[in-house]
Amino acid sequence: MRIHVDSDEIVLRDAEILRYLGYGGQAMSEQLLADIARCKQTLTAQMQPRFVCETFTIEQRPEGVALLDTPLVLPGGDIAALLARSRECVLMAATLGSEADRAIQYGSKRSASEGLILDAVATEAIEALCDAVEDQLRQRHPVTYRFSCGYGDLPLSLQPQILAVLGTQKAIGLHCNENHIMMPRKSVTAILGILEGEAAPQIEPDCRTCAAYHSCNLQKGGKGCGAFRLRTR
Amino acid sequence: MALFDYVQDNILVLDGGLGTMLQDRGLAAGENPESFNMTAPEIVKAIHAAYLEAGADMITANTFGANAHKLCPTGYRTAEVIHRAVTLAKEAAAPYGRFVALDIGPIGELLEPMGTLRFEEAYGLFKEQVIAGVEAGADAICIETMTDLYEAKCAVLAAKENSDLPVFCTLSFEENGHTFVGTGLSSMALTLEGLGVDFLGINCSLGPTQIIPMVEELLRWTNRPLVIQPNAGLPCVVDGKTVFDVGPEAFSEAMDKMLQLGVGAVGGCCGTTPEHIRRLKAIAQNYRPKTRTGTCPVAVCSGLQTVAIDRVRMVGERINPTGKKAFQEALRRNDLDYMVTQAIEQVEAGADILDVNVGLPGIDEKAMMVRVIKTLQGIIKAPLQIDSSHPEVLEAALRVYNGKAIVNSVNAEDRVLDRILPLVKKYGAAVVGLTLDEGGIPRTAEERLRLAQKIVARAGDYGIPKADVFIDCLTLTASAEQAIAYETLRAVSLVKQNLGVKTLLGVSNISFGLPAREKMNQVFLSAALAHGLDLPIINPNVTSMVDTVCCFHQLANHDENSRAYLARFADTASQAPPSQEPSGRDIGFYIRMGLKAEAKSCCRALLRETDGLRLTQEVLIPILDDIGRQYETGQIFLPQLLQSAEAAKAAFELVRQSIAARPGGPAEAAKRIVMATVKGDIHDIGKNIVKVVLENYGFEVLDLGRDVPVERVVTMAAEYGARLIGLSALMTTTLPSMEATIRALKAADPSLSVMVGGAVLTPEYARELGADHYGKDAMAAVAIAKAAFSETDET
Repeated sequence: MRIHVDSDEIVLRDAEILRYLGYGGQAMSEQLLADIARCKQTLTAQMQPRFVCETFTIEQRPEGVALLDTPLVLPGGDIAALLARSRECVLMAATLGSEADRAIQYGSKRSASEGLILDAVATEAIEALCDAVEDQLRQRHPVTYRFSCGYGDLPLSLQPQILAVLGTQKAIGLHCNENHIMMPRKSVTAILGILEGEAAPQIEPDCRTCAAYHSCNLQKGGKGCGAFRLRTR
Repeated sequence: MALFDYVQDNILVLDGGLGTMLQDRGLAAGENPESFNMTAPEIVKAIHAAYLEAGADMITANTFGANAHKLCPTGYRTAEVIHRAVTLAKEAAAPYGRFVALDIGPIGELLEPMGTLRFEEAYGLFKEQVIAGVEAGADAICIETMTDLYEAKCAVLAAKENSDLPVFCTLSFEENGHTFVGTGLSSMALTLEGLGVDFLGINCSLGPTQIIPMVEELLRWTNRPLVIQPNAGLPCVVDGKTVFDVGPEAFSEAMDKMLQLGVGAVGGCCGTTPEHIRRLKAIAQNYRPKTRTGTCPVAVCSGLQTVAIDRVRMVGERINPTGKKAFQEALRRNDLDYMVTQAIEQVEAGADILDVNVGLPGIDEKAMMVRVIKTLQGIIKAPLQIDSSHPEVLEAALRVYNGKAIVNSVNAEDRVLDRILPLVKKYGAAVVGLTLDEGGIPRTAEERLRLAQKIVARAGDYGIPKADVFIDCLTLTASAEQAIAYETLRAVSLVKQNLGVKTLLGVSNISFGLPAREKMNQVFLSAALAHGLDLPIINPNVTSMVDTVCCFHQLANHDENSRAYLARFADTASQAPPSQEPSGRDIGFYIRMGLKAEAKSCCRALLRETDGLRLTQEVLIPILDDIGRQYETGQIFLPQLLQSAEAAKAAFELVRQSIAARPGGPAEAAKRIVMATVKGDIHDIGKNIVKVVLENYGFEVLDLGRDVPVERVVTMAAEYGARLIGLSALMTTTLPSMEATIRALKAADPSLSVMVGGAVLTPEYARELGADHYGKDAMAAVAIAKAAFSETDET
């Protein structure tokens, strides 16, 4: 699939960065705002956004959703429901590259607050990259929202297989370790169903349906993280 | 005919893509290609035969991913797969009388520091492949498609230490001339040439036309034979099938240009077919290998940065415990952050290269050096100069260093030269040669030149080029040796004129024992630069030193359009006079605003009238408590809490100094905490936050970093005498590692208290893992620590 994302399509939203930093409307000093702006500059100068995506025909089987011509079978009720109306799905992987990790590490050693802000900026950057890819996909077909390993009942242990099917090591330099942690660290893999016919109404999940509902500190504080995609249907 | 002989007279033509050929013959996406050696040997053999028929001089066995890590899910073992694959290739090659290479690709997991696979583990995996390949009768070893120079180095060491076979090594570059992890062409060339690779070059990623300019760049940096194996252009999907857009004819035309440039071995990677190789062979037959003898830049590098010594380059001297109490203390308590801070300061002040010396009686210098090198190269990009008088420390450091380092140092004594130069050669470093011998430092410049000549000649005997020997004519202190202090400068000139090598000098020694040291250092540095000094070892945090070098660059016409000069000095005239020092009363305001420098000034003012302990109890702690309350009630948010904590930390440092300076020293017993992000996990932002806030409340925190092995947490807790251990993990998959760490800590000392935190943890989960406390955030950690230590105080 030929999808191209220009770097100016990766738009970093300040509101999102602040949300990752736990912002709740507090008064902020000029200096803090300047620090955030500087971190945005540093991170965007260092990051090497790359992604890969491919379309697969799928088959619902008792053991899970099979991606044909690959060894990949996605188990669990959540992914089955997401892809219930699809005959094809898109598998995508995106990363900011190891230079972004290094920038965060370097910043953390200069000061913990710089590391924290850079980390939040990078989180927004990888989301923005995924959003840009998703926008391109949407221009071709209606698609479901992005669903990743670790959401709902889709196990993280699928990560190595997803990376292997997409050939991410060679294509974009994305690996994972034995604990299924992706490296470079600011990386995402996701599955989107291609919807048949008219666009389906987007499911608007909320905190109660999130996999992390019982352990989420933000949610306990009544704030939520706002990351719809972190939630299952 | 042996391969070594063949390549003397012939361009070596390698085969083309194997993986893509296997895909055309039924290999599914995500399936292990090496398992085809076992399940479909006839397909593998047929592909080999097709390339041999097309004219390939050397085929690569189907062993690219035959390492224990990648083979794990298949159930096959490395040795059996490699034996089978090499045997298949040899059977195919025998009728043609051609060569077979053991193919080694990346392990498939990212190495430290960006990943969690340790260099030593990676070496073990590669070694297993090399030994199997040698046993199976391979004629060469092709290490290819590497994107991490560190991993490539590891594989080359495994190949060279476990075989006598010719070694080919290629990295994959993106169009920007860098690999995925950021290695540039020059760093690759310098490092691989240094390691003694027989052919180095580029494969995969790009088509041949995009690689031509990269070949031109590589030729600037190395005279080593080059091997180039491009893809057949870029992949695209047509009718559900991946195809590549450069056909055999266009491919061979572009490769023709590379052969004209002087490439010694050619082949193809993804998407290339026997037809591509047939055309390539036809063209390659028109060429003979060229011996290139051009002059390459004198340079050193890290994995991410090359520093050409084509002008004066500053070597930062601060990572050295000699005469520095705080540094010695940091070394004793294993505080690597201290060294990292020193490194960052120096690089930001303008150092091009950093000298690293961690020698101190009572510490394990070798283990410490390895840890410091690994840590520094994960944070900073500047190349390192490894400084030790112990050969075993130098070797351990050179082994784990990513790039081409400088060894500091050898002198003209035979036993030193013959012990250290072989290490310099093996690991492809540059070396500092001190002009002294058993008789000490000669008094005259002429005698020092003679020693320099001896060092350069002996280096040559070991195969180290003159360009990689940097001569140090040794600075004597002007106070004690006034009569001959100037001789050093004459020696620099003489060495430059007679040997044409790069020179290095420790500058600050000149003023030892004199007042106004900075002035003397500056004059000596200027004079030395004028005499031909290339590598001044200085403290780059002293502005006048860097100013001097900056001015010299301008004068020597090394600063095009005075760009660096203007950037450094243009605003000097218009700079506002320093604003009035903030008054001590404002300290609360500045801490709340997170302004470090101002908070520190306030604190300094306050310390003139208030005792440090009282200041802490009556001013600083109440401010912090108030900030903590504001955070807990949502009046400020995390970055504000943290910036305030950092500003307070700056103030506390002054207080600590004032208390330490008092007779009797610090009154309170140390409240020591060890913190770590557990093995396998690299998410450490939360832990870093907790550390800073804990330090504010007077706790001494030893931060072990991330991905910390269980045993290290246990050992360091005992060594450091910590009563409380803080562990963090972000992922559910690393919680078992947290549990194992807690269990080991408790087994070693049941009285230790463990607190844990991290996104997926809950109080219940923490209890299940065996932790004593769960902290939801930094302020919770402070409460836990306060309680833990007040219990200790009571008992």
